[in-house]
Amino acid sequence: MENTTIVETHRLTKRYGSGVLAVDSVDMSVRRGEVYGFLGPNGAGKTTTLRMLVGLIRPSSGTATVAGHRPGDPAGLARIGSLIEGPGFYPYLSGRANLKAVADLASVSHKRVEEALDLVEMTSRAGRKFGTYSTGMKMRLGVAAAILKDPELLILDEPTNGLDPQGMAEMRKLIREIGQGDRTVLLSSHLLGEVEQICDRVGVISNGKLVRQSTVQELIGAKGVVVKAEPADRAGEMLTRMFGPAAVSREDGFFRLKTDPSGSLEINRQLMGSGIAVSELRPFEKSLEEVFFQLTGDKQGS
Amino acid sequence: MIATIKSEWRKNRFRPAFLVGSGLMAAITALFYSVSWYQATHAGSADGPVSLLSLYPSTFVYNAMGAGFPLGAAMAIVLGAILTGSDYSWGTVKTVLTQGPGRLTAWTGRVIVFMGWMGILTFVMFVIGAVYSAVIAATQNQAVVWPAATEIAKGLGTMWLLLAAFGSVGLALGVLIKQSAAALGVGLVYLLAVEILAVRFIDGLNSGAYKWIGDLFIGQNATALTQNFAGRAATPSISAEQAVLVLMAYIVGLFIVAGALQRVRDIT
Repeated sequence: MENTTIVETHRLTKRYGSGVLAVDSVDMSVRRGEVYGFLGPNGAGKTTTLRMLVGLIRPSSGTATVAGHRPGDPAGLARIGSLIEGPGFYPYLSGRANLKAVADLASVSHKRVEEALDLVEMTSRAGRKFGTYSTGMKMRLGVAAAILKDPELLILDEPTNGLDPQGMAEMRKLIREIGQGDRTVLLSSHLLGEVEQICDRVGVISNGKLVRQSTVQELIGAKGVVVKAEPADRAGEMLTRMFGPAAVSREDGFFRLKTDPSGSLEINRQLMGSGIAVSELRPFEKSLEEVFFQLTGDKQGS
Repeated sequence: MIATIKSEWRKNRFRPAFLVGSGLMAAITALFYSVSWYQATHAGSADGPVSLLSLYPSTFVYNAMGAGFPLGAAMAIVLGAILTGSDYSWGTVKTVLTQGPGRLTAWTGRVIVFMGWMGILTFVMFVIGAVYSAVIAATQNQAVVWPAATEIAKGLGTMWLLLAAFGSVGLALGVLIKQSAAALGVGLVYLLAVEILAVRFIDGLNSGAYKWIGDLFIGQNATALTQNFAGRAATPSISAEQAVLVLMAYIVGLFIVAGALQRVRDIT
């Protein structure tokens, strides 16, 4: 049976010599063909984890299997494309010459260089020296280098860092295109909107620990309805009778109902019919941002 | 390994540091001949007379070596430090190490290409020396008599060995310090001050009882080799054979130490 996971870590840990615990017992699983978002605030351990997956950093303990091999194994690296913490190229060489040097290292045909440049729309600017590129162009070249090997797994670490809004939108589009088909994309970011728009599943890391791993929809939770009604006690009894105690919660004078918002009209009719005055009734959906702040313990907006 | 060497050569064949370094060594060789020629043809020169005979093609091998050490050694340290140190500052080390070849393969390919560049530098200095000496002989209506091919080959090998040994110091410092500016600074300070003081101190200890330790320093052996080559022996305690062995040991030792460091270290 074909293995459905392409990245699997077990209690992956990195403690630096200074005693800093950067990654703490991370159990992560990325399935083949998905776009996996690796979410976390700055300094949470995202880049350290990704560096361990490509063999740049050795774990202090725990294990990882990436594309069927241990991290850093040449056979595994041949199947992985990565862009870790910004693109690293020689500033005195052109974009094209840089890619050819990478292609030589990876034993990839130079024909593939032109294909990759075309995919990231850099063909016309590939003759310019890398040192003269804008941040967006550098990122695009970094992505081109990552896809040179036509990899099964593409690991992109904060690929929209430093880009303007238009550049970010273009990069998101590019990642969606690259992630089509069988290719797996593991994307780290602290930009929630980006992850929400692109990813199938997410892992949330905070203070080095993977605090949640699920689909975006599971993470956000079910949609519901918010009700404010008077008298509140009678409204609570009524709503509990209608939806069951597990589906009703009370918070700051509001009732939160785990139910489809399309039933709002019926809720309103029944409450009004029982002599309960409804002052507010609206659908609600948690944003990924709310969930993220709950999981990471960060204060919103800080 | 071939793929790694190919990639390293592609990255470094037009690298400004190497091109400028080659140009500088060519200019220094030409300058050495120009100044010596001036001194030889102007009796009132402050530095005293230089014999024109010493500038003819028959002695160009030693003259080229004189221009190449210690200035060539300093240049080799600088180029070595730039090659490995800048990889860390540009972040290219992670690009290289995530492509497939193992860390030791990547390191070996890099060192091979660097050693090739040291060969190019050696060749440039010898060509400039040969051309300049032939021009001087021609203008003085002297027959152009070249040294024996074996002497030229020996000179080329010696100069390459010197540049390779000092270049290895630069390469290792770049890997150790992970930054080119500091690495080349440390290398040059070592070459121009630290070793000289250390050897002087060691040689003076206990009436020279520890001189054998001083004779193991890289600069001492480089000096002994160039002077021995010219038929002079300023450091008679070091034979040419010993100097060759010690310099080769430096190349191999530094290659292993820096390679081991490169292999085990975290790339952060």
